[in-house]
Amino acid sequence: MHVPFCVRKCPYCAFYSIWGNEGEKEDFISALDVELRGWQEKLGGPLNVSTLYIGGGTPTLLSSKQWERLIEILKKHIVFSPDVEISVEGNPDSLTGEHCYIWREWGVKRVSLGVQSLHDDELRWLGRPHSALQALRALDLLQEKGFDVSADLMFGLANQTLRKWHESLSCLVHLEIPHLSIYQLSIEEGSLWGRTPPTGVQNGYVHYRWAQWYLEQKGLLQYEIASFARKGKECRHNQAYWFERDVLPLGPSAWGYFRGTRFWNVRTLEEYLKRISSGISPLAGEERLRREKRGREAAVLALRTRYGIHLPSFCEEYGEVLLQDILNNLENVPPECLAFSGETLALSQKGMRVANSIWSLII
Amino acid sequence: MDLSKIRNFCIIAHIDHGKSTLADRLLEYTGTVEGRKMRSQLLDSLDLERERGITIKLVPVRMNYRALDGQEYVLNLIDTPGHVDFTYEVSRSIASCEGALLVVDASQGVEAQTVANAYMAVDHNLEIIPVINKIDLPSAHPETVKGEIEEVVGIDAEDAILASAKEGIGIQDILERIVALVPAPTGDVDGVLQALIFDSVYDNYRGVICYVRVMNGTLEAGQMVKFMATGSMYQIEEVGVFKPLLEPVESLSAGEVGYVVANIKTVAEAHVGDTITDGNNPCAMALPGYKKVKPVVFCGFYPVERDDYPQLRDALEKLTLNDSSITFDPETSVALGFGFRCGFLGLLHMDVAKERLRREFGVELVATAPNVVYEITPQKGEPIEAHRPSDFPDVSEIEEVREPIIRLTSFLPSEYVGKVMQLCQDKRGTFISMDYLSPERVRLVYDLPLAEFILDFHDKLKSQTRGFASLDYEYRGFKAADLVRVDVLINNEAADAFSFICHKDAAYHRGQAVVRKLKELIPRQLFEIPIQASIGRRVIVRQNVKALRKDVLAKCYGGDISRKRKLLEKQKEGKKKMKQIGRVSIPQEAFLAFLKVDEEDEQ
Repeated sequence: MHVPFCVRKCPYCAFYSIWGNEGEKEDFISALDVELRGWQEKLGGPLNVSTLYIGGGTPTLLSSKQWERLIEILKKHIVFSPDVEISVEGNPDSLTGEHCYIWREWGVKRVSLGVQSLHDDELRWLGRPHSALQALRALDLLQEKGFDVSADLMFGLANQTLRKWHESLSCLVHLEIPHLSIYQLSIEEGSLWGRTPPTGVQNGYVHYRWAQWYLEQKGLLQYEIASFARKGKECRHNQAYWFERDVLPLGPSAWGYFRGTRFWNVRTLEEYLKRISSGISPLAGEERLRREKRGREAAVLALRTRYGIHLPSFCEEYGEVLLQDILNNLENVPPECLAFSGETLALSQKGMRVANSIWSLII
Repeated sequence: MDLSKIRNFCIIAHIDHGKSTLADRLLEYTGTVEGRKMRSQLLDSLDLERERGITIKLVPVRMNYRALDGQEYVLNLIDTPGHVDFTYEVSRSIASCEGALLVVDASQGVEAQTVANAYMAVDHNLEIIPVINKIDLPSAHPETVKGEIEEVVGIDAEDAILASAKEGIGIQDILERIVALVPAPTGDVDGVLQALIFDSVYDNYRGVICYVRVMNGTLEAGQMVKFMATGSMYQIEEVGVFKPLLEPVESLSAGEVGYVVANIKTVAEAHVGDTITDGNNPCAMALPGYKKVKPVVFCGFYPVERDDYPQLRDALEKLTLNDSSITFDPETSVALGFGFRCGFLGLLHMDVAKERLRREFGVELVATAPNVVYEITPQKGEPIEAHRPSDFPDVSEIEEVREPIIRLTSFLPSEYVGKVMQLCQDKRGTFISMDYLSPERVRLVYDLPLAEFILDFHDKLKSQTRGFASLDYEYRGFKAADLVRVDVLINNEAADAFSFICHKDAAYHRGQAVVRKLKELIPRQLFEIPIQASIGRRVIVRQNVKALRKDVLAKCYGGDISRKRKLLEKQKEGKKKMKQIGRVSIPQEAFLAFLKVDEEDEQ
């Protein structure tokens, strides 16, 4: 679910969000009710869900009242499996104790906090609306309430020395945060910086390399290009994306995947509300890939993770010919970039550092 | 026609000294072209020439002129191509005339090119009429120029005509002087036919049109004629004169200049310099001076879009209908695909051909850096003519390599002598002579390998002398030199496209330049790539392209997947466009940049 509200737009971000007044937030929640009902009708039965991810935007911009109503609506339409994993995204500047209380009551397991950095100068440069201290307080609050906390961190920032990067990382390690998403600042088309790029952005090799080494030492294993977790704390929801499981989109500009077809909702809240109120589905388009393309994409996505491609299943799903072709294309890849173990093929940590080059051989 | 009333003359001038404008004024003054049909540089036959403002060759023209003596004269103007690439054509044009206007710019003075052509005219016993042009310019100093003409060309310039073609000054004087001084042609109207082809052009509708000067006898429609160099027989369809548009006449007799149409399919059948004679009553000997010109500069032409290869071939075929001195053979290049190795008379000839292909035939092409032809004597077997590095045998099998040498004459202000001598030395030149034409101007003569000349000599000379030097050259034949083929190895595999020929002493520097450039242009890949330059098996330079360290941007959830896939597909497409040499992907730019490796990079 995409909650499309932010207090302001960060210059590097290309996701859809608006400031949003109270009325728009209320309308958004009401529209979700209609959208869910539509899915129920379309699928002709209850919506069985094993993971739910409420992201954004900034979901913590919804008030506790609005959250209560949102949860009621979700409960009304969705049948959650007994071991459901519900994740929510929050920002340090808008997270409150009330949010934590409501989430806890409802059964939220994971909270992902947009920390980005624990240096105020870096946060200012990124245009983030919070300080390092606010981030630490929010982490503290979440851990005290017993959530599985995940923190987002960015590297490759201007003037981000390895030492400063290490300070952000090690601080989170010492707080025993069990899950980290670390990602490089990338200049996206459609963001403010996409039009006027900042100076001093770094290639990020040393930062990434260091994180791979250091986090592993501290028991946070890299289970995907950007994801590190203590054993058992991996995010199940994200794996649904990487292993082609069915995903239902909710909210403007959300994406879904169902039996080989990827589809997406209209981008803006305005359009979304208009569709919903006129009784039209908010789906804006879909993409259905041919089997071979789907297979190649599946291979690339599987190679994002440490689990890699399970060769016999891949062969069964997409055929011997495609598998062989992919393996042939990987022939010139230096062996130290790949990790073969039994029936699976994955990228080594070195391979993950140059993953784009390897993927482009097999896509 | 009364021979005594004919005057055949040509114009010898340096580029920019006002040849085309002068010709325009002559046409106007004689009323050959009506005022309303007049346009600037009327006789420049190619669009290209008019646009660049340089004249390679004017079309011939016949003018009727009533002189001050009250008599009507026929004046035939035959042009001489103003560039060293076309020296042979110049010699045939000169052989068709009895007189020459030597046009010299009043502020620039005599230039190297002019001298060579003037010498040739003197050699052919032409009456030379010096004309000092552009006297209206404030910077004109005609007296100095007169002195130069006398000093350098060695003809009397006391009575040189002071003219300004632009202002119409001196035009009548020129016409009168032609009538008075240029000898009337001699020849036997009733003799056996001998006509000299001084040019031939291809016309889409009529086939080849030969421009001729009749030396003896008469040419007329219906006649069977023989082309002596090829031995082919043709029936003449039409003869005529240049007004300047083609205008048929009944016959052309000894002394006259005109054209012949005889259903000839390609200009290769009507060589410049060939003699046309009567098919039924052939002359005993051809006119002297015929030779078949051979290309001296070669380069590859490739279509920009690979699918356009057939269009390029068609265009080249049509172009050679027009210009038989161009040769072309199919070749393939790793970088550029299918194309042609083409031979030209020189660099300007090459440029003009390239432009004509583009304009007249609409072909977009990539031209590789030019190279010369080498003669190789192997230790065993027949001598080899090498047009490209891959024609070279292994270094251990070579007895001797010979390269073409030119004799270069340059006129330049004396203050630049030191620099230009240094430049010539750097280019492996051999000093021949130096003399002062005046305290300010020097004539410098060097023998220089053509290969060094075509690299960038002209640009260098111009920049070192601020454009004040002019140059001319002639071929001196082949000379043995210590030349080697330098090979480039990428990841230990030979990459043909990067091989080059150079002097042994320059091999290290040029090898270094190429290797460094490739290192810049070959993107980092998943493994380290050694790039080496070698002579035979001996590696002289080595550098490594380090392995890629990082190529990944982190996040990828839901909606990112399609976008990321498309980015990867794009990356893959990009890689497909690259050329694989062994395991290494080499981008197109590397090949293209190599074709342009120049001295700057070597330093």
